[in-house]
Amino acid sequence: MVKLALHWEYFKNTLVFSLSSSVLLAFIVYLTLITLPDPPPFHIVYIRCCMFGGPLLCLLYYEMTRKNEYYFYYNRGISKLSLFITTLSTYILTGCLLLIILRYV
Amino acid sequence: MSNLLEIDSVVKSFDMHVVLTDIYLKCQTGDIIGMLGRNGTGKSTLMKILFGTLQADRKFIRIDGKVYNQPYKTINEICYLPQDSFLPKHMTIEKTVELYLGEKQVANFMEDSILQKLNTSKISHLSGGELRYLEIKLLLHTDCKFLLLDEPFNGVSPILVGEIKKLILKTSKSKGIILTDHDYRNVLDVANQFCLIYDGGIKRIDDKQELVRWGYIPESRL
Repeated sequence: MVKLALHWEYFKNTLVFSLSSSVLLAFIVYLTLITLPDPPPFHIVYIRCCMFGGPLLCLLYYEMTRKNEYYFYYNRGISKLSLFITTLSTYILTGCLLLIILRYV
Repeated sequence: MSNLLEIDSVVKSFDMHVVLTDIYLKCQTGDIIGMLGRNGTGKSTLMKILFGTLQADRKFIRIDGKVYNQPYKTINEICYLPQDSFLPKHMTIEKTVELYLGEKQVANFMEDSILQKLNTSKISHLSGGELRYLEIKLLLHTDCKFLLLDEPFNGVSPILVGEIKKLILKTSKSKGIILTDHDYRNVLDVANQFCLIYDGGIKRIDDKQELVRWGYIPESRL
């Protein structure tokens, strides 16, 4: 339970940066796709960015600026790889779920 | 119950520069090993290797007869206090304590004259010394068998240093502690065994005069 709570804490910690950087990323991707004959709607692009780009940017930012905070998790037996995998999986699964819901709504 | 940590045959080099050569160190419950050494001799490097977050060219770590490659991955075997603050800044003190020690321990942990005087509950609002005190107390209160303290007295006021020393002495009965700090007088006060990292190797220090002989401190400062 403690490990789960710590993984959740790490995930929450990435949310603000991840979701806000995804907005920027989604704009860039959307602007490049807009010239296509049938461009995807912005919210779909945003969700896809939230699944991959934003979290990866966030992990990179965390690695560069708050590297020492990983010791908080190491001291409870949690490796960086474990944090990366669970965090990315959560973003991807949530994104997939949203895309499925949007498809049928 | 007494536990035993052994690290043997440690070799670590950065590029072509060999920092640690064939290190052996043993720590038992009740030991407070003061690890001394000049800047850049590899004290922190050795601690990180021992903790498991830094790969060595060669190493052999054993806790209670069991061999570990990365001991930190097994909860409550070993904890490490890095040189710089490691508590996430966005969290509250209570939440941090709860995550580390469990909900029931929070009230007991906070019954502390220093922590009660704090005007804030946010980690980010603590001063450097207060934060260091909190980090050390938190790690000392965990159930880990061994604790590595890298510069615990760095940036801490004399009163808090005294409190930290008391905490270390109190907890050492149930843990093995290895600590290093450039404020060697505090290390000498609190530790019950000493070693010096010199020229890539580790020397056991039985007499403070040896620190002068190995060129760690000038005779005038002994």
